[in-house]
Amino acid sequence: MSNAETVPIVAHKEPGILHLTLVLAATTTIAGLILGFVAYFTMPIAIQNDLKRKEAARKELLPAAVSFEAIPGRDECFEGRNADGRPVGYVLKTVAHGYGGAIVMIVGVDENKRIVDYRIMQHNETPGLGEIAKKDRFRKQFAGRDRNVLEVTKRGEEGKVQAITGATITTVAVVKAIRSALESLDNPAPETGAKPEREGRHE
Amino acid sequence: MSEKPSPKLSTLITEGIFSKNPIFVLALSLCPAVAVTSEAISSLGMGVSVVYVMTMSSLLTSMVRKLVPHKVRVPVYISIIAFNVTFVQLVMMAFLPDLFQSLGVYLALVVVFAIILARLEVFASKNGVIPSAVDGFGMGLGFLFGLVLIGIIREFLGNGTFFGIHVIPEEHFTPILMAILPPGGFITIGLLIGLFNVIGKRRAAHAAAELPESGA
Repeated sequence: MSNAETVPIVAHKEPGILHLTLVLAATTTIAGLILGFVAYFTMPIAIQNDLKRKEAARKELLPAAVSFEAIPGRDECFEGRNADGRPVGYVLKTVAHGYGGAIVMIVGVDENKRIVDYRIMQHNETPGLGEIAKKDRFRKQFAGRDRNVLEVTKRGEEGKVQAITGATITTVAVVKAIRSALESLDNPAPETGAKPEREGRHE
Repeated sequence: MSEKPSPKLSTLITEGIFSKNPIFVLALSLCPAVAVTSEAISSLGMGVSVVYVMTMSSLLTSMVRKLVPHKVRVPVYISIIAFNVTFVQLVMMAFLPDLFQSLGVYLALVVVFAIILARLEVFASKNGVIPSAVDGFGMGLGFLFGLVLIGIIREFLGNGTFFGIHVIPEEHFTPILMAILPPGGFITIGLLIGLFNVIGKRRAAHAAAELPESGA
């Protein structure tokens, strides 16, 4: 049971610089090799899950569509087609700049360019608070709106999007990103990737 | 066995949870304790990650403790912690992407949790493999317990939910929004530290000569 002994960590003689370097190099090399090995197995799974999650989100946002055609020149933007091949709407990726950085979202839009719903795929907003933007109760406010009726209110004004208390920046960012996604649909010559709009105000 | 009485394994665990609880007694690593505890489920995810990282880091540190020169011990310990954290990140990214999302940058910050480095320096670098792993596990459990307790309280006050399930019908509940904002985190932790102090004093008065203070 030599394991349980209490051993002083101070070495008997001062190790030279080469010794110290070798110890550090060995530590990091071993750690790096093992992690590389682990990543070799886990990364493909992570990427697969991500693709599956996006596909599931597209189906949820545009239930009428059976197939999705990528819109040329746009990053992860799709036109949904029904069984007859007729377009029934769009699923657009858009990036908002919220309180904690980029909020990556996808927006479902029907053939009349009205919002169906959206999903937040990735964000760094305040935990528990920015999260509210993911919830049904908040998202429901957007259904059926087009680009002309997208405004934020903090006072519960009729017809506007009610901001999340304590997360106004998140709300404004989400609304802006959705609006820019809708505008990009009307844009005849699509740019590559929706230009993210910066939201500088901190309230 | 050895000169210094080696601590009993069960004591190491109970100490980690109660008398040396990292959050409420040692008051270490309070930053993540505020940051990730607005929801019980993210508290749990973070807590479990920390239990793993602490146990494995203590175990590995104890294994290499005789090989590591004193001068470079801290970079080596940090590398060991970073190794374990990255491992957790890779696994979580693949199998629990939603949790990975909601923990965000705080999971990576586990690398610099004061409590982990402190336990490696104070305990794992001076003790055998098994006691070290148990010490890391106990301290991790204490951290987990603290995080989940804070998370449950804050989520309940701020959202009326328990692990995401509505325990109060939404129409009868006005959330105390502050509870899930950072100030609510500080206030909750402060009150819990007070509570732990009261309990600790009561227990100390009851069994004054029971626990011989060791190390730290």
